[in-house]
Amino acid sequence: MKNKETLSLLINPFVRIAGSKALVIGLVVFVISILVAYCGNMIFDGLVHSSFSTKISLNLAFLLPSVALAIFIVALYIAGRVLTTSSIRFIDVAGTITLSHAPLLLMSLIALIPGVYTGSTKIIQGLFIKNFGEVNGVEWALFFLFLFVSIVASIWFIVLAYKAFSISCNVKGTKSILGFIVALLLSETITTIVVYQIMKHSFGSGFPILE
Amino acid sequence: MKLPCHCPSCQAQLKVKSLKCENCDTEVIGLYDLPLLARLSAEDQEFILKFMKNSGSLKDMAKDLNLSYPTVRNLLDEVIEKIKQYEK
Repeated sequence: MKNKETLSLLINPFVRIAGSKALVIGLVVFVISILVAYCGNMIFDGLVHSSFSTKISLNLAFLLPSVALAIFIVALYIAGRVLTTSSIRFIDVAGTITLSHAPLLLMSLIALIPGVYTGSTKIIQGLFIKNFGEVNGVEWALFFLFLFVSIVASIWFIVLAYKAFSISCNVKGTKSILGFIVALLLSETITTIVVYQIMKHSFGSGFPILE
Repeated sequence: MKLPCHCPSCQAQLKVKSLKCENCDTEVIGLYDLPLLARLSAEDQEFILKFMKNSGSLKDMAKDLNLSYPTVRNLLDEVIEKIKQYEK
């Protein structure tokens, strides 16, 4: 019974927590995620997208995910206003969506493991030159561990974000699923354009720097 | 004893057929609609009572029920929707 309740809270904590309380907890976890990721040479440069780099400043490491999160919150709030007849509060959307970001802390923690950064960069560079000769077995294992955790964390984030949208905007069924998908795709597109412009302004190149 | 609101056989809304005075045994027989609030489920009636006891404050209700503000607001919206359906 208790396990069922814990599982239900992991998938949908917003039945119990929302508004400013969720926003404060969400922001604390958000800042920790960025700092931990930065220590592992990883940055969040999109809503569920991450890159490895040592050239990006801490300011930029904070700016990129903050922009992505802000765009996502505004997109879902607008979708909520369009789809619901209920009186929704911006603080509920902002708080619950910020807290939804928490699973991405798992990705940050995995990036801290020695070998994840070097292995992943070697493998990604190997994809371009089609040569994985320098990658050893441990690096492959760590890369797939990072990949697995990233997929699990991203799915968990999307599930939480959907629940957050559904509860804070009081929308259900097909309407809420379609509204959420449209808002997610729209905010990912806008985020990609904005991140590209920020990177272009900072480095003269719009593509994430990978060493 | 809990007042039955729906037919146990077909789930249709029940009506009041008779009312009795316990003091003088007078009995009134007719076919009366249940009051609107009595048609709601026991949980919804409990929710409305709590809402009134909390002076209509959703924040206080959220604290009282250990639920988040939007969850309580959504529950209230559901009750309002049911009342609107009964009023039609």
